[in-house]
Amino acid sequence: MWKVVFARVDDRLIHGQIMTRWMKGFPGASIVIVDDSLAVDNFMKNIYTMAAPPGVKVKVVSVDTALKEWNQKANIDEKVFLLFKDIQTVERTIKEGIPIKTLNIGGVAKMPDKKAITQSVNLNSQEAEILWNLHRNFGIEIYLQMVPDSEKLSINTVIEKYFPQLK
Amino acid sequence: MGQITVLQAALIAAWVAVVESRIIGYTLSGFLRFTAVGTGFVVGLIMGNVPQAMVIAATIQLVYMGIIAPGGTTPSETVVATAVAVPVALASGMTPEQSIAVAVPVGLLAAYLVSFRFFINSLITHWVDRLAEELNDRGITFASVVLTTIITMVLFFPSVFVAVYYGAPLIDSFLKTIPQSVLHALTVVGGSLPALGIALTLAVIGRRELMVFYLLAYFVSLILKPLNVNALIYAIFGGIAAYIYVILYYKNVFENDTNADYETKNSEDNDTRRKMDTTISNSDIKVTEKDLKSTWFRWWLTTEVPHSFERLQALAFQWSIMPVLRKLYKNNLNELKEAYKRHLVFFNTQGTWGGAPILGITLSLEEQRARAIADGKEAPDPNIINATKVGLMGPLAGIGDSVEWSTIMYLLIAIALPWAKSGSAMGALFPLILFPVITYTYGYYFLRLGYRLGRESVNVLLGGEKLKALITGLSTLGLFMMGVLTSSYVSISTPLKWTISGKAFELQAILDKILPGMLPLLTVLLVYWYFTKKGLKVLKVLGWMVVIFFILGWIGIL
Repeated sequence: MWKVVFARVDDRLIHGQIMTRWMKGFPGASIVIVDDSLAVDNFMKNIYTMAAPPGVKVKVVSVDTALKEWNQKANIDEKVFLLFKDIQTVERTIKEGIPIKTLNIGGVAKMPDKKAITQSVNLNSQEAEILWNLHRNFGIEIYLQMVPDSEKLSINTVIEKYFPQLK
Repeated sequence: MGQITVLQAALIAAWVAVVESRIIGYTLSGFLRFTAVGTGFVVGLIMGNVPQAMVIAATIQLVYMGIIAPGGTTPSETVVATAVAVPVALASGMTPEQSIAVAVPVGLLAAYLVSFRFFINSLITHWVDRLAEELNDRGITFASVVLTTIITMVLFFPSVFVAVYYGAPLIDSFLKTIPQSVLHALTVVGGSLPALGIALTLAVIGRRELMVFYLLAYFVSLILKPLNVNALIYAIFGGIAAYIYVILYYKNVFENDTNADYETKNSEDNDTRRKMDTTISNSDIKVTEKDLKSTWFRWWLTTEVPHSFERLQALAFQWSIMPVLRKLYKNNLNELKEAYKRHLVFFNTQGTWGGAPILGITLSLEEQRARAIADGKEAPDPNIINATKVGLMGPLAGIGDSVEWSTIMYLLIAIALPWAKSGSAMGALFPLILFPVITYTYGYYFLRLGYRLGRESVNVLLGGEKLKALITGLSTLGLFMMGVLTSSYVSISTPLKWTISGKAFELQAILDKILPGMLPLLTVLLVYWYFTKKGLKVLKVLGWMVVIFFILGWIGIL
């Protein structure tokens, strides 16, 4: 059973903010990227593993594999730092049964149908709805924050200010 | 007090405006933005007092060690903090420690201006989209490079001018009115805050198992203090220690070197492929060595210039390869337009470790595509080009920010800081020249590697244990230098003394008997411990340290 120390949605997955800021608060944790399409892309999988600085372990798994690994007794107390490329994958992972208590939304790039919420997060109403439901149905604390030093915005505030129709 | 003339204030403001516009190049402007020594030197020249300016800048530098900007924003803009605090301190005769009281708030305020700049650049982005549609190269250059530069300069020049020109007399008259106890408290805060910068650097470049080198250097330099050992000698000591550690830890790497063979074999394969291509296709559709050089220069120069929240470095990427795209697709303007547009989508990475190889790979893919189209053959799908860029930009940024900004840059600063602290211009010139030269050189090598080997170049760049051994060595040396800096430049001591039955006790003397330099070391380790337990909340720690040390200084415990 993993010990999830941090979970984040970021469409760039691993980059400077993760390696030089967030990871430093969890020494000894290994990064687990949960993404079905990356898990079958051997070239990119290899790149992610190799690009980890010394002392950090990186794994790329599918949602199913994540669930299996999570259930294994051998992994007991392995500290993991979960990364997701998109909000849909988080939803599936949580619904499949991996309990995440708090979820950081760190980077969702601008698309024509998305509203700019913070400097690094842009959401459309479907994504906002998924997050809102995860918060209400699973009691997950969800917040938008780029790096530990930037402003923290709770999902409540986001829904109230940008998607009041969902309330 | 000394006077700051209109001309001096204007020159200092112009300097900040140029640095903040980033038009002087990726690793040069980044170095000057994040660190204090370079700006300290320039302000010293303008004010006609380089030695004292270097001493003040060195003190400010220590507070801001370890600050970088993943994602574009820093918690504090060091260049602005330095450009305002150094002249103000010079003019009003503040001590270096007291100048921190000016630097910290100014740095925090300036961070907002940087965010505002990213916002304005977002507006320009949409105009560039339209110019790309019209294939208007000159318009794109104007919007992406010239206009963004001018806007940032207009944003920063007046605010810095006002702060420098009117700030100095204001602070000077303020200093005359505040009581001695408050002045002392500010000095205590200024003496303690280097512990923050050092702890942040330890947390960013260090790993727990390497902390022993920090402690080693701390105690060795404490013992050797009376000998006044040259900083370069310490760097050599640290280098030797790092070398021995790496040799022992990565033993197998140095014994069998398989990586190099891999690279030669692959590049030969690719070269043959390319030769075959040229024999059958339009030979003028070719990326030349000169194209690679100019692409790299254009990218290095403008990486962060049109940076915006919406697309980040996309505009710089498109501008860098624009002339090559123009050449490759010169007979097919529709394809050229598509190429312009596909390189204007969201892109963000570390400029040298990410940007350079990705540019090389992109040029190689675009070349293949242009040739195939010209020959009327099936061309590679353009989606693959974008997928490759997007896939690689994250992981390469992770390693680039760790190695280049966090480790190499602060390592060079750490080596040079003792020079700066003694008032020598070498403290600025050494890292200011070396860092851009080193990074520009290997960046160009990465770009060529990317062009020659395509996607495989990333395996060559990251594969094998050699790179890990190198990073570990640099981190070890970095931690060693942090130990040296802690012993010399974090000043926390207590003036407490009392008399028991006619005998006088001085607390500091007692502490020194137990363990010399205990208070600075404990402060650094405490902050380091907080960072590794609670995350890198730099601003929070900064706020608490200011409050705690101010109170301790004010009531006379420190």
